Amino acid sequence: MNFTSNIRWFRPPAETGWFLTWTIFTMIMVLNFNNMAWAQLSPGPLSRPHAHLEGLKKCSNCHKLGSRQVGEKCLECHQEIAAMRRGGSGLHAGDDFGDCVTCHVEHQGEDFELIYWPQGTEGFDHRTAGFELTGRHQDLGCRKCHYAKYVVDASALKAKNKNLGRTYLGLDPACISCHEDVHRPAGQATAAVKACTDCHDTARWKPAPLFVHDKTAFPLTGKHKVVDCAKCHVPSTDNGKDLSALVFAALPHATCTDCHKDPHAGALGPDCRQCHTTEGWLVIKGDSFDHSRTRYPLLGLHAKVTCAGCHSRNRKKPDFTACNSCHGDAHDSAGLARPRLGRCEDCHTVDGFRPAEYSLAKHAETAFGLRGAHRATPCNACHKPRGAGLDPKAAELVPAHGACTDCHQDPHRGQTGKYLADRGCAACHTEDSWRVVSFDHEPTGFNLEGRHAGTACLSCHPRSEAEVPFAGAARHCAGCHEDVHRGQFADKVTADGQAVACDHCHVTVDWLAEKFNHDRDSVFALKGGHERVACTVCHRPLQDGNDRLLHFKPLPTACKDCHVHVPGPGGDNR
Amino acid sequence: MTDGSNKVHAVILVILSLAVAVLIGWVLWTGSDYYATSLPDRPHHEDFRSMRPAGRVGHGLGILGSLMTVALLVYSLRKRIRFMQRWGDLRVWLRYHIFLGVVGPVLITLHTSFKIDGLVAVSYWSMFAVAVSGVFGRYLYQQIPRNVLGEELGADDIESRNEAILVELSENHGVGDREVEALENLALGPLENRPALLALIILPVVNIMLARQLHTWLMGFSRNPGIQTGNLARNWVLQARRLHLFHLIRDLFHWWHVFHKPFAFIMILIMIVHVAVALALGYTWEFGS
Repeated sequence: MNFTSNIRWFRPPAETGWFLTWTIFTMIMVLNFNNMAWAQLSPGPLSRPHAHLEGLKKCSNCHKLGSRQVGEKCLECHQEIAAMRRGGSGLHAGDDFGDCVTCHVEHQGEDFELIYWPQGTEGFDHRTAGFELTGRHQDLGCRKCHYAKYVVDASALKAKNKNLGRTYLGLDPACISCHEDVHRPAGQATAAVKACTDCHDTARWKPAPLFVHDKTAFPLTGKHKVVDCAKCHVPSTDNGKDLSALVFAALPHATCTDCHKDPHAGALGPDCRQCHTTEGWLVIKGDSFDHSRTRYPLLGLHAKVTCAGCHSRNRKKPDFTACNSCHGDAHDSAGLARPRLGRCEDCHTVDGFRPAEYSLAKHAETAFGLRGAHRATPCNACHKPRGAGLDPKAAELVPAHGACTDCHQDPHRGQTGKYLADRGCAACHTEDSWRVVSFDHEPTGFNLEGRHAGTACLSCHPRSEAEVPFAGAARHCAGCHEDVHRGQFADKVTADGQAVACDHCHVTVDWLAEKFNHDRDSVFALKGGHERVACTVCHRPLQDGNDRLLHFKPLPTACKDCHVHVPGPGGDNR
Repeated sequence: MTDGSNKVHAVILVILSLAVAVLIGWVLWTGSDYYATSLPDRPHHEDFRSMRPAGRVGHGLGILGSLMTVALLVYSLRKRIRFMQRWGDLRVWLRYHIFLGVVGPVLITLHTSFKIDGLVAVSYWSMFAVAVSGVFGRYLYQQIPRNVLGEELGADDIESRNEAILVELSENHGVGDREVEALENLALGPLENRPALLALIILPVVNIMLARQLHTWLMGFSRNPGIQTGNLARNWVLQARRLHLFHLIRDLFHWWHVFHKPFAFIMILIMIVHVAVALALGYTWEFGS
């Protein structure tokens, strides 16, 4: 059994392999030349900006034979970058930007973007380019500045085939490379101000926060500091388009009238600064202005008043004919209405509102002339402010004065009213002193006699707190005096059975019992030798040392109670 | 080739395969994000400097892959240069040739970072064609019966060997005419009445199904056949099938050589140009680049 079939292919000729090899190789070469792939011995097509470098013969334009470093070759073409690196300016001068291909990767296709922003253009740290974005610059899009219009030497970049719409090169960090110099003409630069950043920052264009006017020939003081720049540096239209050109340099400033008008029309001289300062038009140099040159010399306190106290913007020439042109009337016109002494200066002077020059003599001309203690009383004790909240100066010019109690309180609380009749307080008191009193005690029914007439009022009417009690004072002796007899005569009664009063024996002249009759008033009539015996022989002190407390009764009346029988040689009794 | 030598080379190949697998695994692991990145974005990837073809890793892979590609050519020299023909067993050389032919393209593919364009892409695709054709060639190679020295056998030799197997089955294993006829149908049935190239393509599948068919065939015996019976029958069927496609396989193998070698030549030629240009431009492997 034969299993070998006749299924077969024809075998290739012996040279088929080599023939096929050359055929395929030739086709590849031809095809590659046709589609320029032969140039792609390289890893891939070049990006569009470098497309002109595509080609087998141009490898060495970028590549240095024997070295994989291409940086030097890059900079042979990109001379502007090379110049910036040498000069230490721009992004590529940084230490991190040594090898071009680290960032600008090539052979990635013609559409590949050679410039890569790892964090996007918004995240680019512009400080690495040597120009930190601050202030308003931070909000600008890249192409607001990297714009063909602002490229300094556009022709040079164009010569390098730079697309000005794509390149980030060619800008000058100077402000005026993008911004218009509104301080035209350029010659306005001074020794103090040479660069934009000497005055301006990037936060805003105006006001120029860094500008120091003090460095100029005209340092700003006083209110000049807050004046808008354009008030002095008037915008002009030198460019024929707008009012953007401010004149800074060569601005006349020798005299004030270079900018200000002279409201005095030269009457007070050409040098405003003799009187005025930059602190304000109304702030006058008080020590330099001679007000006596005016019709109203400043005297008294007026010399101390600031100019603005009288002169204001709306009252440059105040009326000085009357005080109340400037001053308010503390008396609310009450004084001015008086037929006499109605003018302010009748009482007041420029040395001060108080004290008023109102003499006792002038007061004597009023209905209430001052006498006695009233002459030493302060004015405001009577002329009190007219009401709460009113000007404290506004004292009552004519206070009520018909009765003493219009000003004084009645310390007697009306106790004495029935004795005063029409004279009032003057019935007892005078204006010289409150304490000097002249009172007729007789109408009270307790006429002061004897020693009572010389006794001080308060001895009988003792002060009780703020009140001196007059009514209700005791009228009997024991109401004021102590019973020195300690009740020895308490049981003594009159014939009609009434208790015997002190005045039965005593008088008001002295303490002695001048009205006492030993024969009448006692049970032991004094006769004979008893009439000559001193009282204290029989009436001995009840207490040692108290001569006034004598033992009057009861005393024994028998002879032997006092006398002792001593028989003598004559046989008489003694 | 002795069994001992065969085992030594097998161990070496296993070790090499493991080493290469680790290398490829590491590269794929570390470079996965880079490889997955689109081509326009790759230059901005953090691994670009190392994983790109000229990078530390990518360039190293290219050098290693290129060396492997060059090394596998020694196999061709071994076959053609007289004094080298004494250098060991050709089948061992072939195993290394196949190993290098599989691993080298993989490494070079990683070297390209899957970005294949330019003139060197011709080399790459040529390499790809060589590698793919190598797989097919290996298949054809396996279909050609050889003696223990690896020399190809002729159709007559195979016929006589199969006849001997049939005699053995008949005399010592109780295989009768009916079983032989069934075995013939089992051997050629799936291949006959099909286009020859299709029959060659489906041959591996048909061979895989042979074990089940032989089991059915063996169950038809009145007594329980031994394992040897099945092995002899399997060898007989396989040889019969190869005999059926013998001339076709030999003819195609010639054609395979015709294609395999030109693409290998083109691959090597352009690769040399590619390497020469790279070296000329200073792209030597720099570990730190």
